[in-house]
Amino acid sequence: MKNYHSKQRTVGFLFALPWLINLFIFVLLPIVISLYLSFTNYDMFNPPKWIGFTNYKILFKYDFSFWKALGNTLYYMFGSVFLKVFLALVLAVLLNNARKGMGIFRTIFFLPVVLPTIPVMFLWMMLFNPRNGLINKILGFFGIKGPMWLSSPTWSKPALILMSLWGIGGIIIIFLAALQEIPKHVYEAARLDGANEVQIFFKITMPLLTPIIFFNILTGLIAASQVFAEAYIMTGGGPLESTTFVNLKIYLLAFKQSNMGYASAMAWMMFLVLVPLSLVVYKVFKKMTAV
Amino acid sequence: MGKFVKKISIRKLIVYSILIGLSVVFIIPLVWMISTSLKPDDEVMLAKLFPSKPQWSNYINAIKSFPFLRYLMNTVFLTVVITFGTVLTGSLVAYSFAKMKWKGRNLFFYITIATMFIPGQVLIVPVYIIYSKIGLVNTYFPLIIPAFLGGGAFTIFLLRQFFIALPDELIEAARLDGASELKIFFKLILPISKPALITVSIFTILFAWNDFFGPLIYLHKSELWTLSIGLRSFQQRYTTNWNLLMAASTLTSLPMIVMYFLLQDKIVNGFKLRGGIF
Amino acid sequence: MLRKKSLFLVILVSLLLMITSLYAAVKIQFWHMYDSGPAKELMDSLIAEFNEMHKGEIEVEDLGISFWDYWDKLGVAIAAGQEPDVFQNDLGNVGGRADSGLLENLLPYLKEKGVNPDEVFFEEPLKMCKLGEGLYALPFETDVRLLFYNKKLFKEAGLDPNTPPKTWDELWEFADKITKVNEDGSYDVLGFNPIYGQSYFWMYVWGNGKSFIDENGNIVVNSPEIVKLLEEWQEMIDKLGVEKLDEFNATYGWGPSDAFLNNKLGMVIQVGNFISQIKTFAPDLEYGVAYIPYPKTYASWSNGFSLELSSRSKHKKEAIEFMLFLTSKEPQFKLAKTLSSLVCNVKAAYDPELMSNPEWRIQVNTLNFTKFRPFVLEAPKWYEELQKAVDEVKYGKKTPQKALDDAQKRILSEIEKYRLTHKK
Repeated sequence: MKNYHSKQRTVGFLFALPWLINLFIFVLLPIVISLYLSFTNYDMFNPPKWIGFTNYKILFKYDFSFWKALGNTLYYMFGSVFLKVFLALVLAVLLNNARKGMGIFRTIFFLPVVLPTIPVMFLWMMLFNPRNGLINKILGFFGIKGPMWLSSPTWSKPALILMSLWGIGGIIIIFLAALQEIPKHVYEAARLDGANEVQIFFKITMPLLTPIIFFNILTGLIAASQVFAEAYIMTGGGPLESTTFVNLKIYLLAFKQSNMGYASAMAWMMFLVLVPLSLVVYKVFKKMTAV
Repeated sequence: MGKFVKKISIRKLIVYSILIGLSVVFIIPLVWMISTSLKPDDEVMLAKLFPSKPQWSNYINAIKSFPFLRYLMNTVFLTVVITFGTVLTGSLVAYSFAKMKWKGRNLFFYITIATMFIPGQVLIVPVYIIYSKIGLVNTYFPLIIPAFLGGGAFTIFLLRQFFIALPDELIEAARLDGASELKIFFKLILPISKPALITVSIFTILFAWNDFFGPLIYLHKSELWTLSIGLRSFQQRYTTNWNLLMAASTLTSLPMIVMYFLLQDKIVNGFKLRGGIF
Repeated sequence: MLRKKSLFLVILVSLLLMITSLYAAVKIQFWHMYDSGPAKELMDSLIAEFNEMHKGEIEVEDLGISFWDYWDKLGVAIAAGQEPDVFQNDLGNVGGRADSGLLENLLPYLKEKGVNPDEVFFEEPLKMCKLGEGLYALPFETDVRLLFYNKKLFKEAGLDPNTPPKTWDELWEFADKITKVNEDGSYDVLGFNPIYGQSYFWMYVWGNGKSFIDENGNIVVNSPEIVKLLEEWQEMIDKLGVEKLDEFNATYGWGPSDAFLNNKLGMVIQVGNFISQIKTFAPDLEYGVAYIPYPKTYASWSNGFSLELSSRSKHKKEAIEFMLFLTSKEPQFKLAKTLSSLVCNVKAAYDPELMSNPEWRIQVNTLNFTKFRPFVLEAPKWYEELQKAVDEVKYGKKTPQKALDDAQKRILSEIEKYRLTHKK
C-alpha cells in the first residue's frame, strides 16, 4: 500500500511538472522580478536602481490620479460583472426553455466572442456616435435624447459597461451547461405545485446554480480589474480621465514613459487591493454555498 | 386541459419573443460590420444599414493590402500547434491537480489562482527579457512554449473543475486492476472528457487565432506575422480604411464562426460541472 | 579513405564560410512606421537603393510597424537589449532618451564626415535633437499646423473666397457669418471650432507672444498672462456653448467623417498632412490654405519624427551612413513628393519643383516660425497636465486660475518625483 501511494505521489508530481516549470520560470520569476522592480527606478535601458519604498511613498502621497484610476476600475468591475452575470443567467434560462432554434440563438449570442477585438471596438465607437450612431438613433425613436456616451465624463464608463454586456456569450454557455444538469422533474414538480416561472427562477434555479454564479463572478471580477484595451483604443482614458483605469495607467507608465519601476509598484498596489477584495467575495460565497 | 395547453403557449411566446428581441440587439454589430465592409468610401460613416452599391471588391482589395495568404498560413500553424499543446499538457496537469495526491498539490493550485490577479502589463517585460536571454526572441517559441507547459492558469483551473466531478470509483477500480497512471489518463479519463477537451480546444483556438500582442512584440520579421497584425495595417496614423478593415475582419472571423457553429453542442456538454467549485 | 575525404570537405566548407563571412556585408536593422500603402513602397525602394549603392558592404534589413503599436514593440525590445541599430522615433522627446544613454552622440561621426547638421536641417526640428553639447538624433520628418478654409462656405456667407482671415479677430468675424444653427440649437455648420482639429491652447499662447518657459528656464503654466489667456480662450468656447461644441465634435470623427471635409466647418486648424486626406476623401472640396490667424504674432506648432542610433549598436559607422542617406536631399525630396511629408532637409524642402506648389510653400515658410512644445526632462508630459487644466476649465469644473495653479502643482510634483527617484 505504501509503495502504491508513493508511486502515485511521484507520478502526480510528474504530470504537473510541465506547469510547475512554466509557473516557476515564466510566471513566478517574472512576478518576483516585477516586485523587485517596484523598489527601483528602471527606465528599461539602464540597470534598475534601488530606491526602496520611494515609489510606494509617491503613490500614497503625491499621486491622486492613481486613486481616481482605482475608483474608475472598481466602478467598472462591479458595474459590469454583476450585470453581466445576471443577464447571462437570464438568457441561459430563456435559452434552456427554447428547444427549437437553440442552435441559432446560441450562435448569435456567442458570436461577439469570436470577432477580432480591435475592429469590434471601432464598430462600437461608431454605434455610440451621439448624432449618427445607431444607439442614439434608436433612443430618439422612443423620444429619448441620448447622452454623449464616450465623449461625456459621466456616461463614458456606462458606455463601456454596455459594450461589455455584448460579450457574455462565454458566461451564457457555462450557465447553459449547468442548467442542463438540473433534472426536468424538479421543474415539473414545482409547476404541478403551482409555482410560477419567477418563483421557480428565484427559489429553485438560482440556489442550485450558486456555485457557478460565484465562479463566474469571481473570474469576471479578475478579468474586469484588468480592463485596458477598451480605454486604450476607444477613449484614450478620457474624457477628464473618466475612463483612465489602473491597467491603462500602468501600461502608459511602462511603455510610453519608460517608467517601469513606478508601473510595477502600481501593479503591486493593485494586487494588494484585489486580494482582500476577492477574499471577501470568497467568504460570502462560502457562506452561501454552505446553506 | 385546454387551459394547460394555453399556459405553455404563452410562456413559450414570451420566451421566444425576448430571445428574438435580444438576438436582434446582439447581431446588430455583426450586421454593421458586414454592411460597412461592403460600403464605398463615402458611405462608410453614414448611418445607413445597406450600402447603395455593395462593393464586393472591398474584399479583394483587403486581401491584396497585406500578405493575407502568408499571414493566414502562419496563424493556422500557430493555432493548431498551440491548441494541441494546451489540450495535451493542460489536461495532464489539471488531472494531476484534480485526482492525484502529491506533496504541495493544494499549495501550488492556490498559487496558480493567485497569479491570475497580477496586472499582466508588468509581466510583459520580465517575460520578454527571460526569452531574450534564452535567445528565443524573433521566433515562434515564446508563443508556443507556454502551450506545451500546461497552457495557462485559466485552462488548468477550468479542466481541473471538470476532472474533479468525475467519479473516483472509476479511477480507483482501474488502479486496483493494476493500470499505470498514464494508462488511466489516456485510456479512461481522456475519452470520457471529450466535451471538456473540445471546450478548451475551442477557447484556445479563439485565443491563439486572435492573439495580437504576443506576435507583435516577439516577431521581428514580417514574414512570421499573423492575421491580427495584418488587420492593423488598415489603421494609419491619421485615417483608418474602415471598409477594407471590416472586410478583412469578416474574413478573419469567418473560420472561427464556422468552427463554433459546427462544434457548439459539444461546448455545452463540456461545461457540466457536477459538484462544487471549491 | 572515405573518412579522410569527408574531413577534408568539412574543413574546406568551414574555411569557405569563414572567408565569406569576413567579406559579407554588414547587416543593419532598421525599424520604422511605414508599414503599408505608398509609404511602405517608398521606404522599400529607398532601402533597396541604398543596399544597391553599398552592395557587399552594408545591407539594411527593415521592419515596418503600425504607428499605433510601434512604441510597444520598440520599448520591449530596448528593455531586453534587442533593439535595432537604427529606429524612427518621436522628435518631441529625444532629450529623455539621450539623457538615459540609449542614443549615440552623432556629432563626432558627422564631424568626421564633414557634415554640418546646422546647414542641412531646419533649426527648430534640429534643436529638438540636441542635448547639451551633443546631437542625438537626426530630424527626419516634421509637420506644421495651418488654417484650412472652405471656399464654398465663404461664398455662401458672402465672404471673398480668396481672402482668408489674417488676425484672430478677423477669424471670429468671418466665423460668425458662416455659422448656421439648427432648430434644436445644435450646430449645422460652424464657422470655426477652437476645440476641433489641431487647435490647442498653447498655440493661442504662442500666438500672443507668450511662453511657458520663464527667464530661468523653468516651466511655468500659471503665470498671470497665461491665466488671462485661458480666460479669453474659455470665453470663446462659452460663446459657442460647450455642450453644443462637444456634440458637434462627437458627431464628426476623422477620415471621411471629418466635419471640414463634409462642408460642416468653415475654417479649421489642421496639420499640413490634412491635404492628403482632402485628396482621398473629398477631392471636390473647394478649399484654401493660410497661416494661422494671429492675435499678436504668427505662431504654429509642430511635431515630428527623428532617426536615432542605439548606443549599443555594433555597426555604428555603417548605421550612420544609412541615416545620412535617408536624410539627404534626394531621398528627402522623394518623401516630400510622394507622401507630401514635410521633410527636415532644407535643400530638399526648398526644391523648386516642390516650392512651385503654394500649399507646400506655405508649410515651409511656417517652418521658419513654428514651435515645438518645449521638452522638460523631469516632466516630459507637462503639456498633458496643461491640457487637463484646459479641459477642467472647459467643463466648468475649475476657474482658469485654480486649474492652472493645480496643473503647475502637478508638474512641480512630477519634477520632485523625478528628483526623488533619480538621486545620483
